[in-house]
Formats: sequence, structure tokens, C-alpha cells
Amino acid sequence: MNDHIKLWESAMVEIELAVSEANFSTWFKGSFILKQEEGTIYLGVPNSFTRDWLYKKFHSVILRTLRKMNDEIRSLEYVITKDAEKKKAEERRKVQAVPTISMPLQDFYVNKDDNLNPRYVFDNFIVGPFNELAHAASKTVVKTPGTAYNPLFIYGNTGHGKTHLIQAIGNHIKTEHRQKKVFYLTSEKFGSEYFNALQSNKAQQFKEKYRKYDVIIMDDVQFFSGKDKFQEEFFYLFNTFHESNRQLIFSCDKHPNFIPGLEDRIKSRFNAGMIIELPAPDHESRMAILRTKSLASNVVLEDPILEFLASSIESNVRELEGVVNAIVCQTQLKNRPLSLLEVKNLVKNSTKPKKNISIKDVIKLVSDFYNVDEDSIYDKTRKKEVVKPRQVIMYILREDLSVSFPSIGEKMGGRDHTTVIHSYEKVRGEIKTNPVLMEEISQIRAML
Amino acid sequence: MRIECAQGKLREAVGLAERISGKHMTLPVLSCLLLEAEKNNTLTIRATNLDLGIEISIPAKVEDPGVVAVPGQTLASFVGSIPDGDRGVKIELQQGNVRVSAPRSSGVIKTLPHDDFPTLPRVENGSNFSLNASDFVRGLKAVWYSSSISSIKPELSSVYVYCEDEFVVFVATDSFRLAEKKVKIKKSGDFGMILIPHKNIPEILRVLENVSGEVAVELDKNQISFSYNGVYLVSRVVDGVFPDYKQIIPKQSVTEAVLLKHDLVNALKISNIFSDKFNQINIKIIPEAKVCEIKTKNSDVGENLTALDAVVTGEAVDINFNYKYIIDCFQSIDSDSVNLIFNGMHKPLVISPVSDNTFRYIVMPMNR
Repeated sequence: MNDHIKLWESAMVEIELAVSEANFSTWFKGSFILKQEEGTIYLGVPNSFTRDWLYKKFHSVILRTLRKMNDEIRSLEYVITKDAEKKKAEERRKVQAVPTISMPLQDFYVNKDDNLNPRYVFDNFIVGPFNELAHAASKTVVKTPGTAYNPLFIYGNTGHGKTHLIQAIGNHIKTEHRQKKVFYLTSEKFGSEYFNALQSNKAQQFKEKYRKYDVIIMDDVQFFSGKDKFQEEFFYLFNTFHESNRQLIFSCDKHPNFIPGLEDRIKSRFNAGMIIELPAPDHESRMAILRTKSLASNVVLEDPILEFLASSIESNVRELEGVVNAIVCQTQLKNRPLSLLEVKNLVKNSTKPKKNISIKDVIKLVSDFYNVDEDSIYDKTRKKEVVKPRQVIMYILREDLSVSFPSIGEKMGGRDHTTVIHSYEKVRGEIKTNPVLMEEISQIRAML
Repeated sequence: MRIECAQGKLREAVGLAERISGKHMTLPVLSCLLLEAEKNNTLTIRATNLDLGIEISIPAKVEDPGVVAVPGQTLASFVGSIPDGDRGVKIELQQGNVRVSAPRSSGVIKTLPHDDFPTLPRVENGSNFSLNASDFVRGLKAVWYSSSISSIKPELSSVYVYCEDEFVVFVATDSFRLAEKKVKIKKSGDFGMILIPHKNIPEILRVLENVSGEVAVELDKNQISFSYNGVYLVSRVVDGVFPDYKQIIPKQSVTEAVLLKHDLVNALKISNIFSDKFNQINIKIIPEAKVCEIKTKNSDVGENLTALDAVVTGEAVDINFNYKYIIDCFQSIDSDSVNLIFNGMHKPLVISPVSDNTFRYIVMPMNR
């Protein structure tokens, strides 16, 4: 880089003698050598006037001068560069006390043509035992889009890295298969666009818009639930893509079979491809995530601190990031590494307080969920539709709220504690074999 | 060089081109107009300030072709003040000077060497489309005053133009206020987005204002050109990305007030007398009294309070603004009444004309 500056400076001295002063200051000031590649010098110029004029009038002069200094130089190209880089210094000077609040304007972090955020790539995707399967499948899709796993369906709870992973697929397909047109959108956007198109009689344009892409990545497809019209349109789109071997990638917060109000024909199509779960990161992966994130901000965390953080924040990568940010901020503020105690205090503030749930709440929620009368839970009735919710309630009270067996029995209409133990064991056993029940319970837990 | 051309055409062309020629440039020839007479009976007038360039061709009787660079201001003032008449103006080169002669007056103007006069860049491999010039002008005019004067962020010192369905949307902001105008423009073909530098807008407006009907546009990464009827105008465009402005537009509202535009403008003009060096005004909306109070105070001058009748829904508001930012937007509002939407302390105010959803103006409050 320094060589470039020197080379151009000495060339400028010679050129200055060869051209008039006015010409020199108009056309040559503000130019600089961008790079040199295989004997070609790329000269950065501020605008197209300068580019055209240098080429027309001074090309041979510049080239001759440059060759005199370095005989490897064969040719010269002009590139229009943004003047933004030069103005950074000016920016600092001009921070004035304006009493009007300025708008929190943020740059678009997405590419307008494909909607992808260029920051999501595989390089900064941390792979651990919990997500290596999803990662490997994604890599395969990048290699052979449209043929390997089509559609690719990735599901998992919020903050497990679904969006990162599917956007990374898009970004890498773009670099490895330049002719493929990729488009990323959320199912919500798809839905609202479809609705708008219908309203303004542009359904045909809407169809054509999406059919021109080679890869469609759709985030959060659970929003389709219960929207029959969108599902129908989506179904057609899906078929067109699948028939012509174009890649479809989806993410969702649950397995397609458990998206309520999703038509069977769509479910079965999702199932035809590859369905992968992104579970919560395991302990080691959480440690790895914390380490990488803190290193990215130049803060080294001691092992005990990492250990503590990884064990106290269990579910969500986003929360891990938030804690790292808080620690980084505090470290910079105090200008020294934080102690374990300080970190503990920080985490106490940044994790959400657990809600207090009463036994009554659970009973009400579960009976609502299964659509049974709340009173019948307390009754002695042994109707099948009441028995199941009753057992689920007992299971949840024991498993999640750690209520003792006798007091569960007492609260649920004076039952014997052995009845409760039996129900608990029954549900616990059934969960392992019955995915429907498992999904129901996880939905109930999400609502608590 | 020896030519003769119609006075009206020449005056118009020289007038347009002269505004674009460079002022205070290190290269003196840039303050000149280049007159080029060609055998096919056209006179081409070219001017540039290296940011904008224009080329205007007018019909002329060319007796002897040639090229000459004449100081723009001198030529424009002279051609502009020749007494009106339908007769032609003769331009000829005599020993390095240009003689401009009309029936009743003539002048001799010194010229400069024309070899140093740059060529205008042409847009290569860009996208082509045409659009209705007066609609385009309307859109630019409605927002361009809001863009930033400082050159620190080139994206903000430009007007952002993009297509959205059948509308073309114009946006400008200096991060303290933002104007957005949607115009339905008849156009052949869509374009992605354009960032036109703020300082080129007055000249672009002046040129396009004369056009009735379509103008052909060519656009590439570095420049945009407009051509119609012998005129070719080329401007630099900013190669950057405009910030995601939609996320700052408030989605809901805490207080809404509808006022007569005339009342509000008058009150703001009064504020001009009493406001302090920060141009601070205090706006207070009182829902019970259905009143909007505008108060200004300057410890050196005095203070003033204007109460305006308003139709108010929502909570009471008490908030400070720089009145200059507010008063600016009324040049783009034609309706009789305006809608002010407040969102509480430290949150932006949205001003829009009542019953016109193509224009929105957003102002940030002062933080005290």
C-alpha cells in the first residue's frame, strides 16, 4: 500500500511538470492508486468526468511516467471511487451541539435484490454437537441446490440460529453459483404481499415475481397456520419450484406436523424433503459461543466465568449474545476484566425473572387447551376426554413446578398421592413414544 | 467559425447552460460555454462543473464550422440583454475573439483555448427508461429541501428516488427531519433506486421544468442522464445506500391534531420574531380546550404565545421543536388543513396534509 502512495507521489511530481497547473489541480488532485494487479494500475478518480478526461487527454502521459518508475506496468485503468473514505476525518470535526434529536437512521443491512443480510455466513456460525446435522445438510444444499434436500426444512425454538443458517445458505449459494437467483423472505411478508396483490388485482404479477427465482428461502412458515388462501397460493408456488428442481428452504418454530391449521397436502410436501431440528445448544456449545462472541469484541473471559454463564443461561443464543454485550460494555467502562461476582450481578439483572405460576393457572390453561370444563378436572369423572388433561396437569405440576405428589392430589379434588404418581409415570412414559402428546405438552409449556 | 441563429433559442440555451458552467474552478475553461458549430446546421452548447454537465443543440445556419470556448457569464448576460427581436444573431470568430452581432448591437468577447474543455461522460450499459418530466420535477421539489447540506454522508446529502408499484417515491432527510413524497409517474420501465446529489437538484429542476411530456433517462452506477429535444443533461449520482428510513416512521399515534395550515404557518412566522438562537418553539396540545398553543421565548427579545383552534384526539402534548424544520414542509402541502401526529416525548412528529396520503414529513423534537 505504501509503495502505491510513493509511486503515485513521484509520478505526480513528473506529471505536474508536464501539464499546466490548472489542469493538474483539476484532474489529478484527489486521484490515487487503488491497486496494482499483473501489470495493471487501477487509478481511483472522483467522478466520471475525470475518468473520461484523463483517459482522453492524459492517458499516455500517465502511463509513460508510471512505466519510467516501474517497467512492469503494462496498462492503466480508471475506477470511480466513492469520496466517502476521504471524508471520515471531516466527520469527527463536525460534531456540533445540535439540540434537535437526530433520527436513529440505520443502514439497510440487507441486499435489496435478494433480501439477504450479508453478515449471515457460515464462517460466523458456531457449529457444535447440537447443530452439526443441520449445518452439514445446509452445506450439502449449497453444493447442489435443488437436488440434494429439497425442500430443506429447519425447525427449532427462537434464538437457536435458524435465520442465521438459512440466510447463510442463501449467501453461499450466491457466491458459489453466480447464475442462481436467490430470494429470502418471511412467510408473513409473502402473505401480506399476496393480500395486497389480490386487492389491487395484481395476482398474476405476484405469481410471476416469485417464479423467476431459483432459490427461495422462507422464514417462519408457522405464520401460515390457519390462512387457507395463502396456503393455496403457496402450494402452487411450491409445486412449480419442486417440479423444476429449484431449491426451497424453510424455517419454522415447530415440526411441520405440529403446525396447527396447516393443510395436509402442504405438511406432506414439507415431509418429502429433509426435516432437521435445531435444538437448544448444549453446554459445550454454549461455552464455545460465549468464547467466540467475547473474542470478537476483544474481551477474554476466564473459564470459571464462561462456565457460570453457560450453566445459568440455557436456552437461547440471543440471550448469550446479550450477556456478552453487557459484559463487554462493563469491561470497557471499568477498563479491567470483571470478576465472577460482578458477572453474577450482571446476569441477575439481564435474565428475566421467572413468573410465578399457581396451580390454578396450570389447571385453567390445560383445561382451556383441551377444551374441557375446568370443574370437571376436580370431579371424579373418568371420561376419557377429562382423564388425559387431568394427567397432563399432574405431570406438568410435578415436572415443571416440583409440587409434591400428595399436595397435587389434594389440590385436584382430594385424590390419593398414588393416583398422582401413576398419572405422572404414565405421561412421562407416553411422551417418549407419542410425538403428538410431546408437542401438546411443549405448546402448553410455551403458554405458561 | 461563422454562424447565424434565432435569438430566442440562443438566449434560452445559453441561459440554461451558463447556470451549470463551473464557478470558481481552478480550471478557467470550465467557466466557459463551449460553442461547437457543425456542418449539419446545428450549434451545440456545452457546459459542465464536473458534477453536472449539459449539452444543448439548437438549429443554426452554419456558414463556417468551428469550436470556441466563451466565458459563460459574459455571453449569457450579453445575449440576454440584446433588445428583443425575431431577427437572427450572428456569431463569428475574429482573431481569437468572438463577435456576437444582433441587428442593433454587437459585442466582442474574448475566448479561451478550447482544447482543455472536457467531454461529457456518456452513460454506458445503464438502464434506459422514460418518464414524465413534470411529475418527476413535482416529486423532487416536494422533498429536496430536506436533504442534508453537509457532505459528510453523501447518502443524506442526496434525494433518494425509488419505484414502489406504480408510484415513484422521493425521500430526503438530514437526520433531523425527513420528507417523503409518492408520485404516480407515467414511465416506461422500472429502475431500482437513484441517489441524486442535493446540490445538483436546482439545476436539474431548472432544466426539466421546461419539458412538457416525456424525458428519456439513462442510469448507471455513477451517473444519470436526461435527454429530450436536443438537450442532454448528465449528473453524478451517489453510489451508496440510503438508510432504512421506514423504520423510523411511527406506526401508531398518541395524539392527533388537525389544524388550518394558514393558522399554523402564521403562528410559526410569529415565532420567528421571538425564537432563540436554536429556533426553539414549544407546542402544547390541550385536548380539553381543543387548542394548540405555540410558544416562543427569547431572554433578549421577549416572548409570544399563539393559540390555534384544533381538532384533537388523544392525550395532551408538551414538546419542543426547531420551528425552521417545521415551516419548511408547508411549501409541499397544498391542502387547507394539516394533520399533526405526536408520539410522546422525544418521539418524532408526523405532519401530513389532510386527505392526501402521498406526502409525509417527519420532524424530530428537541431534547429539552
